[in-house]
Amino acid sequence: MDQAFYEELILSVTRGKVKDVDRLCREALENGVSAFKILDDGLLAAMQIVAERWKNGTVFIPEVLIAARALNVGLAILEPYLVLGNQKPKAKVVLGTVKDDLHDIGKNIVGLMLKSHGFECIDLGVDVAPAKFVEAVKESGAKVVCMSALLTTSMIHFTEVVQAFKEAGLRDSVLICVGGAPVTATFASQIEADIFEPDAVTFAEHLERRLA
Amino acid sequence: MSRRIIACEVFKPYLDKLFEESGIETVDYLEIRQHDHPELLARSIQSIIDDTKDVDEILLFYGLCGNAILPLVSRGIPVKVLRVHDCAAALMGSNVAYRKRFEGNPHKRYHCLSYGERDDEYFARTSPEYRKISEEYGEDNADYVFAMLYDKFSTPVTYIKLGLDGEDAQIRRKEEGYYSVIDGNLDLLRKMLKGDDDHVGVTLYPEHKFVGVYDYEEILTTIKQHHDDEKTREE
Repeated sequence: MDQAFYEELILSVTRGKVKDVDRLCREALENGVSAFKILDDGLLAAMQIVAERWKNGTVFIPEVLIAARALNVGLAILEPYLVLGNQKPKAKVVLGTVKDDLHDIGKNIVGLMLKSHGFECIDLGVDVAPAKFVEAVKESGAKVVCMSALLTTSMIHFTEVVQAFKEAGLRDSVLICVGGAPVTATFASQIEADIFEPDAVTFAEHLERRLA
Repeated sequence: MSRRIIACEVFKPYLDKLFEESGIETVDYLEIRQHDHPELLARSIQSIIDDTKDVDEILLFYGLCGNAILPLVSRGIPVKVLRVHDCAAALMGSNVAYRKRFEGNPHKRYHCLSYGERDDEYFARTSPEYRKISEEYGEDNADYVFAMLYDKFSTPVTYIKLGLDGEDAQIRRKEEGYYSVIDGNLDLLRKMLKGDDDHVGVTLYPEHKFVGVYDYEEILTTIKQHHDDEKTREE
């Protein structure tokens, strides 16, 4: 497929044209294009553009949601082709929104991007108690924990999660990652998080580099 | 003591009420919508701070507000901000009342007189925001956005009542059970205006920065800036 195809796919994702994303992904697969190429040069390239616009303040949450929704449609079509035999996921990631917080948009986008980059996600949902994060890591063997919060009143629970992992003797076995609109690098450092990522869309790449 | 007051427009009817007691003052009001993008809100506030001269203090009627206030700097004039997470605590009159209502309760949506109209402006399928998204990206995407952003939070909304005209009518416009009404009080805002209770505000002096504590009591504090902080801020 030529450059015009990828430009159309990128535009369809950023404009939330889910039917076009569906059609274009199927068309490319039928033409023998690798699912990885469609993902990288089409879907993820589109999300990069959205991430840039978000950083510049030229788009807001609605536009990010619309693009993520379109990405999800494309990903669902590509997913069967992205699993190659016995290829293992890059890593298992437990993710959740901390206790007393119901916001999950950022968390869901992180989950989507992680899946797109070959990670296995165990999504605990919202209002997640510290003990549940620990339990999920014990059960799954996950090496990465991602916590999100959108309320300053919820941020205190990040500290409790880190403490819960210390008390369980698992702190050194996991990478703890934090994000969410009010979360700052200073706060992440104070609570001894391993990774702070202000951008839900680019977090997966950040994690890949960290694990490499 | 001369001062400049900067406030979120959510406080307008309440400050107007307090000015009946204390005398009218000029206030620079900023739109509630700026909270949608905390960095832009911080820049808006900082722009007014930078523009302020020849007063003894700046009173900032904002709380942590999603950490929007953390990047602010004083250019020489002390900046005093409310010691609260958000406006709900300020309108409930204390952090004790706020904690009692919301700690352990993840359903933290609240309204008040100046915020209540935003239900129709923000959350309804008839709102300008819905229409804008629908025109730009199609109705299907608009429905999706609204479902993601607002539908899950449709539990009873805490309505903070301060005894102002219009509140009862606003509450009655919604169906029974939409609001859970509580009495707020203006004590915290009154004390901030009077300046006779040091604990209701946190003052930012030059060469200091705000730091979040995120509990329900201290909430935020200030520390001396390091040289690296200033350099990072300029970058």
